Amino acid sequence: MIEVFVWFWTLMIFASIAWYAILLFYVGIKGGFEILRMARTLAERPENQE
Amino acid sequence: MTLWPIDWVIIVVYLAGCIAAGVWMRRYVRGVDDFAVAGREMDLNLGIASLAATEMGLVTVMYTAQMGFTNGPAGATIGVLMAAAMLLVGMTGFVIRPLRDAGVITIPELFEKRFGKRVRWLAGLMVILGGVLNMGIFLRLGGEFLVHVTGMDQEYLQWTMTALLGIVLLYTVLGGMLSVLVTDYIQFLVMGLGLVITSILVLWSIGWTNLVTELTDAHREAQPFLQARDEQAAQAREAAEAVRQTAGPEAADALRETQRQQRETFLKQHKAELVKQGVLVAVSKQEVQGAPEEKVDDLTMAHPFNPVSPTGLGWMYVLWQAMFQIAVVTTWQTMITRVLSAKDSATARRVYRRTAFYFVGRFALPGLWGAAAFVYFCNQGGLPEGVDSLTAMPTFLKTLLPWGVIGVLIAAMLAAEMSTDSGYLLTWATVIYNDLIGPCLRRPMSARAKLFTVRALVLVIGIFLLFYGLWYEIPGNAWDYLAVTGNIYLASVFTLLVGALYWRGSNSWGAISAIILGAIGPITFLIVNGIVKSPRWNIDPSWEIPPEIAGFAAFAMSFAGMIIGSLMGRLAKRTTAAQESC
Repeated sequence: MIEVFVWFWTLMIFASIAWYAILLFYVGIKGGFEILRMARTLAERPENQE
Repeated sequence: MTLWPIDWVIIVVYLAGCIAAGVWMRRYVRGVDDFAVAGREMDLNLGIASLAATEMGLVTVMYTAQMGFTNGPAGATIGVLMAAAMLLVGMTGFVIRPLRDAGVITIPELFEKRFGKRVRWLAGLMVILGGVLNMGIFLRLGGEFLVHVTGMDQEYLQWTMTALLGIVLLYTVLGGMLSVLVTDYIQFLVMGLGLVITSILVLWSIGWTNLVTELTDAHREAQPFLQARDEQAAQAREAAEAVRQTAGPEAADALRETQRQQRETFLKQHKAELVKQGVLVAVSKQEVQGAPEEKVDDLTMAHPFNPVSPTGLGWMYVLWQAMFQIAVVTTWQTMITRVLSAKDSATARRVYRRTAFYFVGRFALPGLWGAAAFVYFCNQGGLPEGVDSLTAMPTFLKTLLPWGVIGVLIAAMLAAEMSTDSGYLLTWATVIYNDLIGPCLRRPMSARAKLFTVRALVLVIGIFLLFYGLWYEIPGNAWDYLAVTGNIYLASVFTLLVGALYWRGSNSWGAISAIILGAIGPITFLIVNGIVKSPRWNIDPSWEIPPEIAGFAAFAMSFAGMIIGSLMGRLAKRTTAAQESC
């Protein structure tokens, strides 16, 4: 039974490291573009719009 | 200090980047909507970065590492439950979909639509009490990490954290949510890098198989010690009770003090032998009524892999956390702010689904560092003087990480602290403005005045936190009070949200009853445990109410209040209508 838990936590810890590394690149690239797009949308609003 | 010039360069570049990006976003702020919810322009990946960065504070790293130190990898069970809750809510849209579709800025604003202004104000007060007071611990705990990982002198802790909060205040006051989103993005990247590199190095140095074996051995070897300790404690209690009955409470107090001193002396004298039995002795200094006092504690490893084992967290605690995490992900205002800033409810749900697994790592990775610290200090022959379960992890990392990497780790942890502080400051300021000040105004403020008020509130909360959480020494029992306010907030606001969104029969009677009854449970817990812990009464510690029972009770009473109160309200309305028609 304990073996199952050990395998579970092994999977969780190694998958977390891998997931963080993937997100770092994926969200890093996509999030950067989204910031630029958001800034453009905000800048293009008419002056009197809040 | 253990920092090299390259470490300083990394830290300074990171801080300068945050300030520049935060101040740059100021130009886009035109009104409260831009300031509070980024003009609702937040897209998916920015939402993921912001939510992940805000919810991963330095305080989180510290306490999850402490869970790893005391419970091994099983300490990350809370993270797994939180991830499951995020995934469930993201897939079903439970609470977050109707909440985003309602177009409100804060949760209490929704309550006004269903329950009236009074409930909105009362709920706003609960949110503020639970939120701001809990945030008070962030700065000091974050500072403790920096002190232990850099070897910085304790006297610089307050000044360092004051400067850090100053930077956060600068860009949050100027750019609001827009600055918070962009700085969160930078902080997400730096934090991710630090977490990945540090975790790999920790695994590299200790070895996963070795860690598993040593944690299992430490847990098994400590069991006879724990059994003997419990037996001795029971005998000591019986002896003190006998003295209390024959010679009075003062004599019993004196006996208990002697017993405590004997136990502490034994632990200190047998420190080296106890390590071989999987027991670490922590000797630390604590401020007690303004004077430093030595505290000696024995630290053992609970079941490191099975969370439901009786020698681990236990079934009840795991069940309670499963429910608690659903309340957290649907109710905690800083998380909900990301839902309300999303373009639409579909984006909000996707942010939840894709961020879900991040929360496993939020607990598992610092937990891994904490568990590795336990093994490391067992192999080193014990904990150094002044190091306890909380500060063991940064002390361990200081010895492990090479130059350059320690700079990345510190930048990552500063990022964790700053993103959390900025997100929290903005959220609570928005709630105070929107739900406490707004409903009391006779005439609505001009757009300029609104913006000025929210900015001023961010600044005021920041200054309050500095003095309350950093420069002022909070009395020991204040932490119990914080736990209670947090529980009242989650129980009552969760009940109100579920009632408002999913039960047509709910009304203001039910809402007010839910808030009152939701508060009674945690307050009773505080009083009962205060009596049990008091040496004056010499009560068996098994009478202490565990936090999971107190938590379940708070939620059950709050829901009962909503149902009974709403039914009574409906009955009262019908009676009044019948009398009027007569």
